[in-house]
Amino acid sequence: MDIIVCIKRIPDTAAKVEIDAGGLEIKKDVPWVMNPYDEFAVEEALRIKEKFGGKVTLLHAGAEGGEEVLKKGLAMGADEAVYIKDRSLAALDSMAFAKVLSAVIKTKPFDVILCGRMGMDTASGLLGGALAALLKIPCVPAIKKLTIFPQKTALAAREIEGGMETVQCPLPALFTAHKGLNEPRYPSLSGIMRSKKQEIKYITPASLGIMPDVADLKRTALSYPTSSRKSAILKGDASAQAKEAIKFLRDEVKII
Amino acid sequence: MIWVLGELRGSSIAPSTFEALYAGRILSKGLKTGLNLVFVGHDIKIQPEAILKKADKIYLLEHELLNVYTSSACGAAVERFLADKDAAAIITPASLFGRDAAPALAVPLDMACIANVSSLDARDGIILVKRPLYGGKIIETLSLKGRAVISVMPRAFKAAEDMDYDGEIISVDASLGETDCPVSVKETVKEGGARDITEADILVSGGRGMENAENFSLLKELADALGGQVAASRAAVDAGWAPPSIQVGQTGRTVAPKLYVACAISGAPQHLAGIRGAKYVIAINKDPDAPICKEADLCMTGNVFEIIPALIKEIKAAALR
Ligand SMILES: Cc1cc2nc3c(=O)[nH]c(=O)nc-3n(C[C@H](O)[C@H](O)[C@H](O)COP(=O)(O)OP(=O)(O)OC[C@H]3O[C@@H](n4cnc5c(N)ncnc54)[C@H](O)[C@@H]3O)c2cc1C
Ligand SMILES: Nc1ncnc2c1ncn2[C@@H]1O[C@H](COP(=O)(O)O)[C@@H](O)[C@H]1O
Repeated sequence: MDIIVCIKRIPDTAAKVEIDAGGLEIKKDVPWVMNPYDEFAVEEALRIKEKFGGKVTLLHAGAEGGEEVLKKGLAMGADEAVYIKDRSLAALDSMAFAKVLSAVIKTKPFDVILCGRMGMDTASGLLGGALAALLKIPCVPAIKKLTIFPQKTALAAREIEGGMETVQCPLPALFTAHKGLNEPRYPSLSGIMRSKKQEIKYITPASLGIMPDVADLKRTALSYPTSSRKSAILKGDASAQAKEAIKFLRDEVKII
Repeated sequence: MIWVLGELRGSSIAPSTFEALYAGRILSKGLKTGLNLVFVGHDIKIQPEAILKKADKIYLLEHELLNVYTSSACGAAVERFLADKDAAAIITPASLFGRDAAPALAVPLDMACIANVSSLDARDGIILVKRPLYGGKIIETLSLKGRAVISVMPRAFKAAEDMDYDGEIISVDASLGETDCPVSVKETVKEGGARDITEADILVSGGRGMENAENFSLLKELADALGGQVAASRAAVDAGWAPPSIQVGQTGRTVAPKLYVACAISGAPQHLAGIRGAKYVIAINKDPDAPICKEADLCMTGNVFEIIPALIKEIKAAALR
């Protein structure tokens, strides 16, 4: 099986994110990590390869710093890492990324493509669906279980509103990984050593003959959310606090 | 024309549809164009009075193959239906359904696509959108020149009320073939009746400090007294005390109820990301320095197992008065 995994690089979800002096970018000196959902995607790819043999290729598109997340995926056990690197890829438009990635994927053999359910930076969750549409292959989003059959079909269990659904589709297909799909492995020491020797392949969008075009979509401002929470702290006896809370529920929330 | 892709829940219209209609109306006014609504399915039965005064035309795009939703079939049906029609923007709810359908439409229609938008405006042919980034720590404003599919965050927009549209319901046969449906649904399992927490007005949410699954019944009792529903932090879901569908936060649902009661939840950034839209927050925590207390309007400090029963008692007493 040829398996392709798309990985995104995001600021650690626990990190403090601040706007830089120019007002249109965030300060870059935050800890950056592999998008957590993509770890499930890498893990699943490795499990498919362990079962059927084949090759796991990682793809990442971005303007800078992607080496670290690609190396992490290699250390987990992936065979190859491709980095589509270009300054024009700094914006956070999943559709533009999907076009770039699809151009690369079209040059490669593949049976399974895995993405994360969504990037935890933009919470978009668009790229997988867009990539599948561009490649004209089936897309099964938010999967929690995946079974691949040698005759190139797949059964996947996915989250739907208020429950789960099991679907079947032929390969090649694209799946987006949800939490619960698996427990991502930690890179082993030998994996880390091996990944140091594995070279990342660089590609420019120009060499693919595409110009990522996000001109229609322009960031005009970044701001902090405004919070008007009062943070009143109640202390003491439970029933006295409960009486205070009732006042709040009646006078402000107005639900009693 | 602005199009809204509506969401059905069986034979009723999901509340998210009315929010998407509200967002659609902002664009239709700003861009001085009409507002149409389209539902996709098979043998759709909706109550006309719920919808007639909310859009110019309401299309029911129907086909046997749309009996069970899949993004490929829905995308193909809507794309073919809209291909020869004017569409400045398509609005969908940012529910699992809408998020999944949006890129499947945007690609073949060659439109931009923006997910999870919290605010919208339009003037001089330009659409302005705001969306939260990094779990809501930053708000981004984007200006958009072309046509776009936009999914709107649950409860970020009000539900559209009736206006002076004289809506018309039009049933259309979707053009679809077996090849449009590579994904087939084999089985559907519903999770014990819990309503979608993103639609709740009042949520009582429990965290690791609830200690076990049995104690979640205490939260249910409080939720019942307040007329709300139970939700949970990831720690509680990971421990198996609550189903994943009621997890609030960055990897769970983003909720925006009128009241959110966080019981024994510390308020990690990934949890707070899911509750920024709540109108009021009450925290119950033994630690007054827990981050949740800074994100709450009211923080009750002490043992949840003492405070919740006291609160239930007072609510019942207040209701009787
Ligand atoms: C990538 C990523 C994504 C994540 N996504 C989410 C998400 O979507 N949602 C989410 O919730 N978390 C998420 N998390 C986890 C998050 O970081 C926290 O670990 C989690 O929210 C903690 O849950 P908690 O507040 O219930 O537990 P804790 O942090 O352990 O807090 C328990 C709280 O209960 C209080 N307490 C304990 N006992 C009592 C008592 N008897 N009476 C009163 N108070 C008591 C304690 O003072 C404490 O404040 C994510 C983490 C990562 C890394
Ligand atoms: N720049 C990127 N390079 C590679 N994969 C990406 C990139 N952006 C997003 N993805 C993939 O698409 C998924 C969804 O991302 P998003 O649409 O940004 O929410 C991520 O979990 C990744 O698997």
